[in-house]
Amino acid sequence: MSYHKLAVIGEVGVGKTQLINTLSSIDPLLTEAKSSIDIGKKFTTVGIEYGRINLDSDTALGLYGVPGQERFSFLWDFVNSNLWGLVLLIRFQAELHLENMDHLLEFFAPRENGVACLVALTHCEDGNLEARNSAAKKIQARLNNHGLISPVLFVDARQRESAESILHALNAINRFHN
Amino acid sequence: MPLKTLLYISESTESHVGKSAPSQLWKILRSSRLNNARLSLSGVLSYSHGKYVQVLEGESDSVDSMIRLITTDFRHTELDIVLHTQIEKPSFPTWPMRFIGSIGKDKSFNNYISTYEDRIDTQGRRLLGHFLPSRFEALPSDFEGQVLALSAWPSFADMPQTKSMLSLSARLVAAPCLYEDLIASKECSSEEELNLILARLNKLNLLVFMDSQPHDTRSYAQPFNEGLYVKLKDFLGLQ
Repeated sequence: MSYHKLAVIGEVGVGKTQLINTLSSIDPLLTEAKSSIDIGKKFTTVGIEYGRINLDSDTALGLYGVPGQERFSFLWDFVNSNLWGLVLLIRFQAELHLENMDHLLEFFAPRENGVACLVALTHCEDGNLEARNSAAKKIQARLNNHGLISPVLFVDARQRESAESILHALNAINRFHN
Repeated sequence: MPLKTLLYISESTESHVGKSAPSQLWKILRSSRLNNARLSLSGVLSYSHGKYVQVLEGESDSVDSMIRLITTDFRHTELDIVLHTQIEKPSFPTWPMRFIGSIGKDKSFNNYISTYEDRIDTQGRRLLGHFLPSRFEALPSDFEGQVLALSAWPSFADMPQTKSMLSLSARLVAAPCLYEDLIASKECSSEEELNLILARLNKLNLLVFMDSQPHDTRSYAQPFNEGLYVKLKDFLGLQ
């Protein structure tokens, strides 16, 4: 069995659960609880969520959704080994929350570990071109600070084709960087 | 009678080919207006740095008669037909022959090119680059034999987030690559698509011309193994 791991990391309400739901070949395993803060939905993920893409009878890509908040860093350890890809999900909004991005990049160290990495901006369907451009540039500057030349994608986690652009980009990065 | 449009680009035979318009231009414009009115044709004419571009529109036979006449006109040489196609309705119906000073900035001409762009071949695009540099500024002749790289991923607010764009960007960010190897490896669905993407990356100042720098010589023309890459590509419906 050839098994590969994709880690999807993001804060509450960013769209991890939706993304894994959209991509997974199996019913995802979710651990949800009532949300303690107003995030526009009643339940939120409190642990690792798991989905899987079955590519054929002996090849699969496991999808691991992990909360991005530092208090869940004990879960990061669990996921951070032999990764095929790392996706940081960030919610597009007027004030981007990028404070945690540095912690995550230091912990997962995709450059040092040779792991294909990208940032996916979600909830940007209504964002104007200028605002999206500015957000992408801010994030790319942060990535550069960690020695990473990585893409910033605009993803609608509900749309299969849009969600698959993450897989396509990571597949291409893995092919050409190795 | 079916309608058609024809766009040609030619060179002025007048000895000075600088920025200013040649005296023959006004004679061409005057005779075009007379002849076009007689044949119920319409269109536009422009001049830039030694070259003319003209669009003719009207009934098929009339357009054919007019272009035969133009090819024998001593004021033109090196005439190339860039576009020749049937149309539903003319794009420039009002004037027998309107003169446009800066055709690259003219909205109606740009709309006309957008409408029929998919019917213009690579050579035609190269010729149009003389008049529309911002649109067709980097063409295959600029890339041939070049080792290319990307200094950074493009912002997908500037560029479409297509599969071709993602593959090509991943490759050129990873290592410099010879243009001809990019054609062979088929990251893009066609050579034309590759050229358009490279032109747009070049316009964003992300494309780096490495000249004789060492580059990635690995062949990606065929899948390199039967591993995850190929299976995932299959899954994503790309093969």
